[in-house]
Amino acid sequence: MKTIRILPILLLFPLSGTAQIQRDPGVPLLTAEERAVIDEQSAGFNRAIEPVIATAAESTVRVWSGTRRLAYGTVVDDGSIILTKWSELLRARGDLRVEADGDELRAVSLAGVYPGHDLALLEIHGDPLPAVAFDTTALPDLGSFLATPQPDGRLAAFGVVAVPARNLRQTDQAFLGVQGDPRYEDRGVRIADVVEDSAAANAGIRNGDVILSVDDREVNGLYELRNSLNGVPPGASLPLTLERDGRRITRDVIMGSRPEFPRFPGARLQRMERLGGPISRVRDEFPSAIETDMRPLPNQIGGPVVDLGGRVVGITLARAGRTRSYVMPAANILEMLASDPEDPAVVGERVAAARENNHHQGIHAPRQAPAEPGRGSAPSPERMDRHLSDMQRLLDLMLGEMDKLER
Amino acid sequence: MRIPILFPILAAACVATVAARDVLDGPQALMRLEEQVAAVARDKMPVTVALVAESTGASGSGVVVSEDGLVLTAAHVIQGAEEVLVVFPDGRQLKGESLGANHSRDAAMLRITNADAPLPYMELGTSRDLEAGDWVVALGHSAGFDAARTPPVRFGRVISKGPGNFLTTDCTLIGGDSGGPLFDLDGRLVAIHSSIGQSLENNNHTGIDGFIEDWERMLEGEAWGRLSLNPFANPDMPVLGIAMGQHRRGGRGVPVAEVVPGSPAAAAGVRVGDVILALNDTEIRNGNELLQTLAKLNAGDTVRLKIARGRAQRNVDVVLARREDLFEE
Repeated sequence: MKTIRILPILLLFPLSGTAQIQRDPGVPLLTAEERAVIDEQSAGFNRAIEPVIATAAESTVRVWSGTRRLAYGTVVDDGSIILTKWSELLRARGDLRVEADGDELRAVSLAGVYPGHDLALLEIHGDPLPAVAFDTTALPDLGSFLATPQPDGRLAAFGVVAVPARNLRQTDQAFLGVQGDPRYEDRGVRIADVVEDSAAANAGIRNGDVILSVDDREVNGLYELRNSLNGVPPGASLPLTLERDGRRITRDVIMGSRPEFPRFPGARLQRMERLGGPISRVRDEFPSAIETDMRPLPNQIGGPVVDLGGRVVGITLARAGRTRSYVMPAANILEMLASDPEDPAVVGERVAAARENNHHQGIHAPRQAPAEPGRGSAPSPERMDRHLSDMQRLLDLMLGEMDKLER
Repeated sequence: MRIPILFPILAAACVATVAARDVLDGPQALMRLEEQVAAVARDKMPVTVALVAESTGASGSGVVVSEDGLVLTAAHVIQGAEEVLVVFPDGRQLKGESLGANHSRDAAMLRITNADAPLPYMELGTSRDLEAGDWVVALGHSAGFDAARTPPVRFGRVISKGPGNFLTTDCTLIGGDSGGPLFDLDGRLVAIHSSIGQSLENNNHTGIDGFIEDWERMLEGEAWGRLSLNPFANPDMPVLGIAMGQHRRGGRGVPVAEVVPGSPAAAAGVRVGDVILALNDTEIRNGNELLQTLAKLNAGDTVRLKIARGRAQRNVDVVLARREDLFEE
């Protein structure tokens, strides 16, 4: 029997466990009436939120290189310093300039880098701009509204706190070093394998032991075991209760640091992350980040984020995927700014060396670890200028490689 | 300046005037909205579970809807898996066994088998009352269960509705969210996440009304239907029972190429060669407009078609049928 002919034909990807993807340009069933309601609602929402973001917008700049919009920046400190996203500056071709609302482009120079946060400092040549006042008392909680402005005062992106602030660095998470036996059904978690030189191995835990509890919390299954270590820092000591040969024993385990596994999500998931627009090149491993459902473009990253009280609670760190962006909390920004940044030239050399190294090994290595406090040296403008052009060239090369990877 | 913008007042105190739509007149209105969203997020996050099917390696989301451990999810999450792990955001892990599924609606049910105490569960709402512009909150274990974070909250609104129980919102979803819950601002479960499209506005959900309709069959372990991502092939799509002919250049309306015997169109006397010009006073310029208009209606609704037959025009009343009922496979 013939059925009604339909116009949009959609491809089917019925893989289980992951959201299925439709291939279509928009929303197929959206009527003109629905579109009108949605657009009017968006316009009203934007107008309602503009007073909230107005002050922060005055401290928001657009960072340019030639005709390229690289990123947003947040004016900090005494108004002569701009905080922006380091990896987006790598797309620069020529001198960096910043644009504030209704202002001429100002020349800036790269004054320092915080590689662990993927942030950089730009120094303004000439008159200062209005600086933000970071508010460390307003801690955005689950479901709170957040907004980030464009330099001209319009809304760049709006979202809610999807997950409160957390550490995204794998190496800051406790690592026990055991593999559970998935076939084991009884109480606890039976160990199928102990990783050599791991925290578990050092504490004398063996294959066949059954972990009954971690720090007095019962664990019945691999997920419960994994969850029991959530939020535990490497170096912490936790008592584990084990069953060995029918006897109950307790071992204090000094937690190790989780090895940095390369993050290669499945090709399907990667494709889905890009559905809906481009995402930031550097988008993970931040030491402190609030997850939000904001949708800034990658070249809108680096601007201030406010709550509904207009308080500046952080800056945008990355558009990380279809569903999420990261925001660095104000308290962590102030803490970072109180430490010495790294010399951009030194970071550039390291980036180049890593690139060279990766080239030989045929892999893409993780980003550099952040400098330990006190180890950075105050940047010297002369030295930086000398290195800047070299660095730029090397970074261009690196960018080219990254572009290849992105495709 | 007062900004007219549509959103339902759903604060507990406003029960008497729930149908009213409020005006978002500035930051104060935003703050009220924020309070509602935050309350839903806080209350519902802990009962948004991850479902891990170890046999298939699939990881999705689900929502507990009864204290004895019934869980709703998307059919494609537990397809091919008899047993799944049910992991709560606080790290607790329990066992679940698949019950039934209506694959056409991407709806499925499972039961937690080893809970030793009554479980916290979510209250069901209704999906048919939702319209474009209604605020909603989505939760789900995006990209799979992650012990280092709770299931992310997303806030948005209904973008488009229908056919049947199908809803589209701008709450962005990704793999792993499938089967997770969509809430209204009262925190009532109104839909389950199902699929996404290219656009950030194209996140699709199966309305809860379909689950309620299929409840007994799923509870008894029945599995039926066939998964399709074509919204017009949705089993709940209301249909006239015609095949649309080629749109004539410059012509108005939709020519009828075939009339399905026994269909509502046949019963109303629609003939091959007729041209449908309007439906319920909405002018129909092409086939896409006809489908879009139909998708917003319900099977059982009576619609008035304006039809051109030769040089004459006439109106006929047609009672819409469910696609699945008319086109039995």
